[in-house]
Amino acid sequence: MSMRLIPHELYIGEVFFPPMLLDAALGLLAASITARLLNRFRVSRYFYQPPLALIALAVIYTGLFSIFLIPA
Amino acid sequence: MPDQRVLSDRFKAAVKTALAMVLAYGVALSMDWDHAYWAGFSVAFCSLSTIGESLNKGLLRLSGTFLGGLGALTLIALFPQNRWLFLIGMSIFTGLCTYMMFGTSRWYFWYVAGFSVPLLSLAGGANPLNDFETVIIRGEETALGIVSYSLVWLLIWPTSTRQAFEDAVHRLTAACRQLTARYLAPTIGEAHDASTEAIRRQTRQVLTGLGGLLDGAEIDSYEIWETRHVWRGFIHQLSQLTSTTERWRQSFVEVRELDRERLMPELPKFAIELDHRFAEIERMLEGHPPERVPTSVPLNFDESGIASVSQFHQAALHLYRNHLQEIDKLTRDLFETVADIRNFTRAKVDRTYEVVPVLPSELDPERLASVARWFTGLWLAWFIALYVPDLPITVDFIVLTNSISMALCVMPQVPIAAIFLPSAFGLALGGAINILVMPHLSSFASLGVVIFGAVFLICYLFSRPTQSVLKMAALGLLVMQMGITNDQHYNFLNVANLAMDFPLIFAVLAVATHFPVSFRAEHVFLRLLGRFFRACAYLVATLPWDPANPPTRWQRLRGVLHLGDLARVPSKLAVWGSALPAAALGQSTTEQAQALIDSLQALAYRMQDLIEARATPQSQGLARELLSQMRAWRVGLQDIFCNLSRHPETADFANFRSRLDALLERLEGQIEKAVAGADQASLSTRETENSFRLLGAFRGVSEALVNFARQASAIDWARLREARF
Repeated sequence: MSMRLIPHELYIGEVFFPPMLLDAALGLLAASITARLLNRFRVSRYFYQPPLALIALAVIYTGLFSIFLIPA
Repeated sequence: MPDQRVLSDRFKAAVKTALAMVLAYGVALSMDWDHAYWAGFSVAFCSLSTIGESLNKGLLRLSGTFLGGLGALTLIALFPQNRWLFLIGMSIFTGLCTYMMFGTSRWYFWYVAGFSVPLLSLAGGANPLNDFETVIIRGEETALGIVSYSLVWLLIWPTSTRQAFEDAVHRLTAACRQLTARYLAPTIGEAHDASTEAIRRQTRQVLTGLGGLLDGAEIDSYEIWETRHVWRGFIHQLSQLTSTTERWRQSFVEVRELDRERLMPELPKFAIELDHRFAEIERMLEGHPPERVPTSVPLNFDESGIASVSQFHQAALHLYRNHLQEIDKLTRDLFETVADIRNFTRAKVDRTYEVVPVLPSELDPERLASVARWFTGLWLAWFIALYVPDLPITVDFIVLTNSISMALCVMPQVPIAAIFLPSAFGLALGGAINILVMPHLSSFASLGVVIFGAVFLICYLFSRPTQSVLKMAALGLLVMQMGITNDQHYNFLNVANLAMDFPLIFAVLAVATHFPVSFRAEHVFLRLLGRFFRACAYLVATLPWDPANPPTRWQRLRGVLHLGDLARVPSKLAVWGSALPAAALGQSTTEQAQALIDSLQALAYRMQDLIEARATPQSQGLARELLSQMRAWRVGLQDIFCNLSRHPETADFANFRSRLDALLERLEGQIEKAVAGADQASLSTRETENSFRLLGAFRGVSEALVNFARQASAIDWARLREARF
């Protein structure tokens, strides 16, 4: 079995966390920062439904982080 | 005990809540009851500043728990094996409770009944035999919490609700007296006096809280309980007086240039009489018998003086006098009611309250929107709990989502983030105590100190009345996280699981805040504005209704619904206007938004005047002469309202002003001609007076609309409409 297929966990103070948890938290944070910037420069008005776009951004960021930053 | 004056109310309330919590836990643990934290919840959610208010809320919680328990057991008995039917039945019951929470000072009863059903149905676990026991324990623990804090509130620094209620009544009566005196004083008649504005604001605030205070005072004072119906009538009369005084104030603009003392020679005498009446009411409220009874002051016009002013000034004066006559009647009623309350009269006051139609007042679209928000949150939580595998502590997840979602219906303007932070604080504090402190404790004495310290800290930090929801959220999560039982065991997973569910709960609530109905302040603001103008447009369209040809039931129902909108929307706009974020305000300021809302409130009062004036019998002669002009005026108003309901930003001050001035000029001549043509005997009739009142009311609506256009020009509509994250 390839080593890549064995799931690994984050280990903080004797507690194991799934990497996806951190990815999701970072994804949400990154989406919030992006939303704030888009609001700041008034780009948000070009989105049809900004709250829906925020959820989409969070999902995209989480996916990207789980591929490139902290893979499962 | 330390000197009472040394300690602040904030400190005392925190100490009392913390003590009551320790007592509730102590008794529940010593009796070895399950779910000891339910007694803690009762203390956390029901303890208010006075004993009566706290007891009232506790009794509402107990009766709500009883109804919720009954509902839960019935639903379990009806659908023991059918998940979906059970969920649908539960949603209908809880949805009804959510809907019934609005518009009553006893909303907490419905709230508790609503959130108890999922709680009690799910807390029993898989075995339905546990459910009855769970319901009984919940009732016991709730009663224990109420008894605990009642004891503490009675024994330590007792604060009577009766005193608080009577103080509030005194303040309100004094404020009404001051306002009337200021409005009647010849030098002060302007609306923009800062101190007058402060008194008006105080009047509104005190009046809003008076019903809740009476609920509490009824519980802790036998005297108030005995006269509770008369007190309710008194509050209703005070509310009517406040509203009539505001409508009267709105009519000042049109009579500003007139010498009112010359045109109404009895006006100074009337002002003195009103002041005496208020003084006597205050005197009776203090427990002293009245020294004089109200006397009648007729507000007749000076015939030669009134003939010398323009037709529209005459119309405005009729409207002005009509409001004064209404105030005269209301203050007389107030006098009689207070005399009845204090037993200074033998004649019992006939308490004929205004009959409020049940159905239309319940059919409020904003209530339906709130229910939709709650429904979305609950069902999203259900689907997540059912279809997301291995979700920890699903019961707590569903119960918490449902409870917070229902609580948000009462205060929909509170942002989710504002509740998130105190809840996170309670969660972290409770978790830290559970993991780090509690394992080292060996007796209830030491546990009691920890409970006291944590509860005191939260109550002290969130002590302001506006922070009550935050305090409850923090205390609730603290109690849950500590998870105190007799058979105490410690597991990091218990704390971690609740912490993991917590962001998910708020994610669900955030989704429900935006879909299917948006509860963002700017969206609600624009939605309410549209509703307000649609109501105005419909009500103006009903003005030509012929008394001989009554409207259909559906038309009448729509009329009543729109009248309800007219009365409710400005106060809702005031709440949402203060919640508008800086980004939505753009170039405009909060004060400008407030001025816009004030102009809408004025328009609402003017519309009410118009509808009331139209309902009175009119002079046929004047109506015939002015028919086409009045029709054009009405249709013009209707068009403007229709347009404003879609695009409030199109209100053009200069255009409205010039159109109104031109119309007034045209009509002035026509009325003069009509009056000159009519015989003098017919002109002095009541119908002619009513027609003048109607003219004044039409002008009042138009002037209020012009004022709205002026305020609207200061609003940054582009930013208010702009889509934002």
